[in-house]
Order: sequence, then structure tokens, then C-alpha cells
Amino acid sequence: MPVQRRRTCAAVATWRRVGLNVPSALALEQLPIAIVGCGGLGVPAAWTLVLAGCRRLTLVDDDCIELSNLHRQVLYPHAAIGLSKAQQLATALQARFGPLDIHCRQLRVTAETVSPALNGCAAVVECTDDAASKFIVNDWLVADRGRTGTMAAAIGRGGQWFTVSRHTSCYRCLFQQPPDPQILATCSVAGVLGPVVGAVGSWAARSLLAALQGQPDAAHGALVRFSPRGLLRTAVVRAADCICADASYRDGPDAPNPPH
Amino acid sequence: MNAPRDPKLLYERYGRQLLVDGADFSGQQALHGLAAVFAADTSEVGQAAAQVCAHYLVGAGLGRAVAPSAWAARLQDLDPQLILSDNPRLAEPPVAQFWFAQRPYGASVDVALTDAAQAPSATDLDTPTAHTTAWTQGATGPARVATLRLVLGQPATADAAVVLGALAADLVAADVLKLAALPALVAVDWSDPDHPHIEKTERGPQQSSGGAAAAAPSLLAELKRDPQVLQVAWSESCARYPQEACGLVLRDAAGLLSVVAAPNVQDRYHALDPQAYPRTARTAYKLNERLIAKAAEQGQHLVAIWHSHCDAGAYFSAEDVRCAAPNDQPLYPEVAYLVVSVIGGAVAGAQMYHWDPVCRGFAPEMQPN
Repeated sequence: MPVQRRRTCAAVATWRRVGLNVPSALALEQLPIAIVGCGGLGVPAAWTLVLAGCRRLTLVDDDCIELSNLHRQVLYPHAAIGLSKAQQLATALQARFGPLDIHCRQLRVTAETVSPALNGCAAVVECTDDAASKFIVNDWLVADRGRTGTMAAAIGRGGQWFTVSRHTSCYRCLFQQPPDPQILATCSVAGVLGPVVGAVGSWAARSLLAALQGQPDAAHGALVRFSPRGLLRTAVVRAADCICADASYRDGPDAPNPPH
Repeated sequence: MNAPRDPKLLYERYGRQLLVDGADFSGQQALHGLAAVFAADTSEVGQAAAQVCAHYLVGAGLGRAVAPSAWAARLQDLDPQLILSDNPRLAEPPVAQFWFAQRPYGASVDVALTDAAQAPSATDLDTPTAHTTAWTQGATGPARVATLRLVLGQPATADAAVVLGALAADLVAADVLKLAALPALVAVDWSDPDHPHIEKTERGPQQSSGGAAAAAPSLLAELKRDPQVLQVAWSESCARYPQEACGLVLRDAAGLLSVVAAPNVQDRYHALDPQAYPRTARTAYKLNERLIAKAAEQGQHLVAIWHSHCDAGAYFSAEDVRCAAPNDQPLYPEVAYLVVSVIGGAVAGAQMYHWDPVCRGFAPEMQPN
């Protein structure tokens, strides 16, 4: 089982980077995980991570809650319209699950802000509705060796997610570069069903957890698509000319663990 | 039924949902008219999934919710117009009932969707005779039953709750919004990382459901053909209220079905050994098993064991599972279990459950359309 062994090695490397030797439920409490985008996908992803035992989260979002968000961003109370999503998600999670170590960063992830925004995080769930942001996070994962991340997206009645780690292909192996925003459908045009976003966001978080814990997962190095027709998995091979094909990234030592 | 919502508010709040291909204002208003009852076994995943499902359905525009008071207030925060209750009796049709449970293979949710057109009026519900007669004639009761299985290869932990709850909400929301009809069975199989897949069995008289339990002809439908047969169970359930009633469903050599009532001896066991039998007849039942042997001696074949739930839905509870299959080993694998829901002294519904050897759990019987 060479594939299985590689995945386990990746997970162990991640644990060591955050100062832990043995992956366990107790260790999950200590692992700092970032959620980029606290909207329709970020809310169920955060809910899933906390249910799984995660206690250290970094919530990144510069947006405020609107009335049209509430049908799918179901942890926000009606009274919170106009308030910061990151702050309100932290409040909602702490109201349900007690004290958590949550850092809120009210900013939009760009090539300049990604490093300070995700500083100290061992893993990321990318949950924005911005395709460019997924590439920025992917590039940060590749540049900052040893991190694990999942990119999630949903629209209409379907969605998709892809988990990237050092020992798998990356988002650019599949899509090369962000699409032209003019041709990309968004929720404000094509609509989106709340429960579908909930399932996709949660699945993405579960995929990240599986990769971190060294368990095999369908979306690890593969794109999984969910639609009313079912689930479709597409394994992605590392592209020879991709940024992640660099031998120093693939086989070199882990980057030093930054302070949290 | 709730008063329809203001169209302007509908568009502002549910605009993104109304843009989905096939969705329209009438579906959104139908969701506003729906009541949903959220219940679960005692497992962490079941409890959390019920909450998740409630949040997503309320977010999508559900009008009335019946949920435990411990977390129901959060639903009201999400939608101040929501009509909230912790009493299942207030859930007048159309109503969706959810039962979330941890399973040896992962987790599951049973959904019963009672449409308004096929449901009794509020007046019928308050008059046992009229209601039970209508029910046995097939005019009322859970019109459509669906099961969603999340197959993980091991019992699900709490973190699977969001996927399960959201998928359950999606099944019902898509049906009420007229995007997709409620299927009979959905199995989301995540146990093989190289081949995750969803098996869906649509509802239809010609289609097999895929499950061993569902593939069998409906025993409840057979019982309903003669109203007098089920009337024994209905009358006994109402007479024993607020204690649980129980009994047997037997088939004679000629193939005819009969329902017999049996004494509920739970209280006697509770009095003798309250530690081993902490429940009273209010929330549990115990049959004298000699009656089963006696029926066999008389040439009667046991096909089902029935009991009632007082002021609770016709779901197969964790206690029912524990009694019928201690340590996951069914005492009578070939025997079905009929659960009768008695609310306020009147029969409010019933559901038949069969042992499913594949999933090693009890699955509700599919009702013919």
C-alpha cells in the first residue's frame, strides 16, 4: 500500500510541525486550522471541525452578514445582519460548544495578505466563492511546505472539493489558472440551495480531517463532485510543469513551523 | 397552515434559493406551510444531525418546527417568523418527521412526509373513531417514507452530523420546492475512498427499493385491507393510554392475518427489579413471551410484534432496538415490528419496521403509492 504509507507520512509530518508526535483526538484539539471564507461553505466546515474536536480556529472573512445569506449560512442569527461574519461565526460556535481558541481576521485573502492571514495555521479549508482565492491558498500551501488544505465550491444544487497536501497533486495541476471571472457563474446568478452548501462544506472539512489524521480520503489529490446525480471522483495526477512538481517541495525538508 | 409570506420578503431572504433551476415562489410558500418534527436516538451524531437538519430547513424557509427546547430557541434566532413548539401534537399536516440514528455502518435518517391532501384535518385528529377509521382506510398516515443511509464502514462519530443533517434537509427541501421528488432510499457510500458513490432508489410501484426490508411486500398495507384487523391494535392503544400497549400480529394456516392484544408486563418487572428494568409501562413495553410459543402451538405464525408510543411519533426508538436486537442480534429476525403513535389518547400514525440484515438495523417499511 505505497499510497497509504505516503499519506500517513504526510500527516505525521504535519503533526510534528505543530509540535505533536502522535495523531489523536487530543492532538486535534491543539491543531490550528484556518477557514478562509465564513459563508455558506465556511459555516458547515467550522461546525464539522468543532464537532470533530478541533478547538483552535482562525476565521478569515472581510464580509458582513446580509439577509440573503441566512438561507444557507444558518449559524447566524437574524439579529446579526450587518455584522462581521468572522466575528459572528466565532460567537455562534462558542455559544454552542463553549470556549474555543478562535482568531478572527477580517480581511480578504490576496497574494499579499495570505501569509499574515494564515500565519501559524497547520491546515486550511478554502470556502470562499472567489476562484482566485483558491489559487492563492493553493500557492501558499505549496510554498509553505507541509501544509494541508481543502478547496471547496458550491453552486445551484451541487459542489466540489479537492484536498491538497505535499504528497498529492495540487489545485493548479487540475485547473492551471483561475478562470475569467466574466464567464464564471456565481450564486447571485445561478442560485444555491442551502442544505447542499451545508453538505459540501462539511464534506470538505471531513476530507481535510481525514488527510490530517492519515486516513485515506476520496478527495485527497482528487476532485470530488456532488450533484443531484450522485458523487463523481476524478483522481488528479501531478502535472510535470506545475509549481508543485518542484523536487524541493515534494521531497525536501519541512518548512519551519511559524509561531501561532 | 401558516399564512403565506410577503413576496418581497421572500425574494430578499430566499432570492438565492429561488434562482435555482426549477424553484419558484409556490414551492417557497409550500415550505413555509410545512411543519417538521426533529427527533433522534441518544447518540452524539444523531442528536447533532437533528440540530443541523433543523437549522438548514429553517434557513431554507420552513414555517413550523417541533424540536427539543434545549436548542429550539436557536432556530427562532435564525428566523424570527418561525412557529416553534416542543409538542409533536401541534404538528398538523403537511408535516415532515425526521428520525436520526447512529448505525453499525455509519448513520441514517428516516423521513416520513405527510402531504396535506392525504392528511386528516385537525378535527379528525381529536376524534379517535373518525381518525382511526380514516387511517385504516389508507386515507391518512405517513404518505411517503424515505431512508437516507450514510455508509462509512463504522459507526458514525459526531463530525458526520453536518453531512447527514444537511443531506436530510436537502431531501425534504428539494421535494417541497418541487426540484426533485422524495426518493424511497438513498445510500451515500463513503466507505471506499476510491469509489465514493450515491445509490438512489426512486419511488415507484414497479421499482425495487434495494433494501431487504423494503423489497418485501408491505405488511402494513396488507393489514390495512381489513379495517377490523388493525382496529384491535388501535382500540387497545387508546384504551391503555398513557401507558404503552402491545401485542402480536399472527397469520393462520389459511394465510389470514389477525391482531391480538397482550398484557404489558413492564410494570411488574420494574417493581421486581427497578435497576434492570428502569422504565415503567409509560415508556416501555414487555410481552409475555410464552404467548408467542402458545400461538405457535395453535398453528399461528408470528409475523409482527406491535406496541404503542404515548405522545411520541411512530419511530423505532433506541429502546425498541435494544429490546428487539440486544447486542445487534435480532431476537426474531423474520418478525416485523409495528409501532403505533398515540397522541393525546388518539392514534396519530403507525409504521412497520423490518430487520435489515445488510445494514444490521431496523428499516421502516416502504408504503405503496
